[in-house]
Formats: sequence, C-alpha cells, structure tokens
Amino acid sequence: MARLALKTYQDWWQAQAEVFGRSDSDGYALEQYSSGRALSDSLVGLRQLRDAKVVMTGTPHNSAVVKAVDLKADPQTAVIEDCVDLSGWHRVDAVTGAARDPGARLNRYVGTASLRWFQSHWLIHDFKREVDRTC
Amino acid sequence: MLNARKPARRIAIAASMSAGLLLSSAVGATADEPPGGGAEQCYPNVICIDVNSGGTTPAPGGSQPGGGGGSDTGPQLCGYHGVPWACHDPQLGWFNSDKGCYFRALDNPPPAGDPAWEGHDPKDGSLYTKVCPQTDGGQGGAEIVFEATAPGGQNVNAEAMAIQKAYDQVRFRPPVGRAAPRNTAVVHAPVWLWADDAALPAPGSAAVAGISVTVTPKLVKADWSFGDHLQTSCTTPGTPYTPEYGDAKSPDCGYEFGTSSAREKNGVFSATVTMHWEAVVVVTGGPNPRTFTIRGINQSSKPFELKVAEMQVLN
Repeated sequence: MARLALKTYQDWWQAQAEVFGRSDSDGYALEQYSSGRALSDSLVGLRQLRDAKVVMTGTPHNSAVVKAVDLKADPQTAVIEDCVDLSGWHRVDAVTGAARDPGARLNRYVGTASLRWFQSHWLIHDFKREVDRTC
Repeated sequence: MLNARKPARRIAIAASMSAGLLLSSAVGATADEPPGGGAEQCYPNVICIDVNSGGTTPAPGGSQPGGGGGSDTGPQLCGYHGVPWACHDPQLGWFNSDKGCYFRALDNPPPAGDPAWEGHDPKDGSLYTKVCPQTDGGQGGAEIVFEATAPGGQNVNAEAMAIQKAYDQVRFRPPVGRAAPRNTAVVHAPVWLWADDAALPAPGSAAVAGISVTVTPKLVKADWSFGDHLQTSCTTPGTPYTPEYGDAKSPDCGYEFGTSSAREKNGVFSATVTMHWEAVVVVTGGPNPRTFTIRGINQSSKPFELKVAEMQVLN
C-alpha cells in the first residue's frame, strides 16, 4: 500500500507536468489523482495558465518518501514527504516560449502530501509547501 | 475566463495604490492585462507562494461566490465566499455554491425505514454524503443527509455534466490479484499472474441539454508489484491457471522471480495488481463536439501474499 501511495504521488506530479504543459489541456486526469484542496488548487492553476496563455515547460523532479501509512483508519491514509526540485520546470509563453516565471517562484522546497484511499486507489487531498524547510 | 482575471486585478490595484498611483489609472492599466503579462502572479500554486493569501490560491470566483461553471471545457470551478472549489470532486461529489458543501449520492443507501432516512420515503428524494470543506475542513467525516432534489452541480455547464454522468456509468471494479503457484513458487520457475474482476467495463452514455456523451473504457496495462524493485507489467488481465496447464508458462502474463521472498516480512511478498484504464470520451452536439481521452484511471487490488522459495524442496 505504501508503494501504491508513492506511485500515485509520482503520477500526480507527472499528470500536473503534462496538463500544465499544454495549452489545450482539459484537466480530467487531475481528478484521477487528487481531490479536495489539492484538486481545486491544480484546476485553478490550469485555468490561470490557460487564461494567461502560458504553459509549464521542462520537468519537475521529486525525491519522495512515505512518512506514514495508516491502514487501520477509515478511510486509510498515507503521508508523503518530498524534496520538490522545480529548477528545471518553468512557466513560459505558450506561443513564443519566452520566460514568464512568477517573481516569488520556488526552486526547491519540502512538500508534504496527505492521501486517502478511495474506491481502490489513493487520492491526494492536500499538498503543503513547507518553504521554511530546506532540502 | 473573466472570473479568473479578478484576483489579478485586485492584486495589481493594491500594489499600485501602495505605490501612490491614482486608482483610475491603475484600473485602466490592468483592465486587460496585468503589468508584466501576469508574470508576478503565483500560479500554478506548486511553483510559488502567494504573498497575498499566505499560500492559498486566489479565488477565480471573485465577487461571485455562487458562480462557477463558465463556458470553458474540462472540469469546472465553483466557489464559496471567494474560495474556488472543483465543481466535481471524485471523492466528495458535486459542489453546492450556495451552501459551500459537496454532496454525493450514496452508492448503497440503506433500506426504507432506516434512521438515516429521518422518516422520509425513498421515493421523495435521496441520501447524500455532505462535506463542507470550508467550514469544518471536511475532517469531521461526511454527514449523511436527506435531500429531495440533487443539491450539487447546479452551476456546471451541460457538457461537463453530461461527461461526468456518462463517466459515472462506467463501473471500474477493484481487481483481485491471483497467482499460481502461490505458496510453492520457486525462483527461476514460471509463475502465472491474473486478475479477477478485471473484465472491460461496459461503456457509459448520457445526454444533457442536447449534448450527448459516450465514455468507452479500455485497458492500458496491468502492473504487478511484489516489492520495492520487483514488478512486471502485462497488457491483459492474464489467464487463470488450471492444473491441465502443467508446467507451461502463462500465455500472456507470467513472471519468473530472480529472488526468493525469504527476506521479506513474514517470508512472503506482499503483492498488488493495479489495472490502468483510460476512457475515450466522445462529445456530440453542443458548442465543442470532440473526442478526447481521460488517462490515469487506476484500480488496485488489496495486497495478497506470495511465497517464493530459493529452490524446490523434494520430499
């Protein structure tokens, strides 16, 4: 179960990279990996990227580990901690490719994802960016 | 589209005012495009921290907390008191923008007369789970409520509603992982792998306001995991083993272990199988007829034990 949680977390990042990387993405893939605040935040991000005609290019890198799995809880839960490395993932103009990174962007931070088991798969329902912690 | 610009304008106006500029000129300068083409804005949220909201994403709902939907394709955004929420959530159901709560009809409602019905007749309405993430954080668990009419999804456009309804008709079932031999496998000998309850689900279809949608599932692969670095992948659910196959290899989903399970917890591998599906969505009618694919639909089995010995024990 811990392995599946880790795989879901990695697939969620890959789905974000794919969805945010194309200007014609619809975002249905995000519903396969996330719910609650995590899903809503990524759908908002997709909407804002599309409206501003920018996309994400490159690849985000992860070094995630499972910190906790509670198989006795109902629903079952998992917590994943990651050193998120975004130095190779940038916001650019969808047409010209010109850099459009936000001023306060983060390159590396500790991210903590909370997952719940739902209908035979894990869903990330919260993702916290702990920018005060270095990694 | 308009909704999403509102926070941009708000942030830009605040910045301009603090810099002593005239409000009117600031509004004029930011009505269409914020300075710098929006480069100062924090989105998607995973790449930055929004100083104005302490890490939460600005609301696309703006001054219309009850709004949402819009004409965009794809999953729709709703909102409550300026905070955006997905109109549809895979776990929580449909969002009600007036109440700020998600409602999801119970898959298996209790029979009539159960206290959960609170004296109501099932033909007068339905039971829903209700989660209000903004007021109680959704941490207190879902409450079960009776509602005469479906309380969520009223702000969603017809296309998004039709897609979701058609998708919900497709029943992806949890697979059950099987292996043979399961207790007497040895290294470098064929093991058969197959998943029960992994047949291709029937397609779903729905029509809302003249927009028709069909959703047709298809299997991408079945991933078998036995340990941190022990895995294999098949393009079919596999073939169930029966004794007449003897020592033969599985025709479509077999594996040979290179290491035994002796060093694993309890001396067995804790295995799972995950069915990876995708769904082809065909939208006809409406403003944007098209065909697209929803990827990443995963269903995993419960863990099952698989013992692999170093060598065959001869009695």
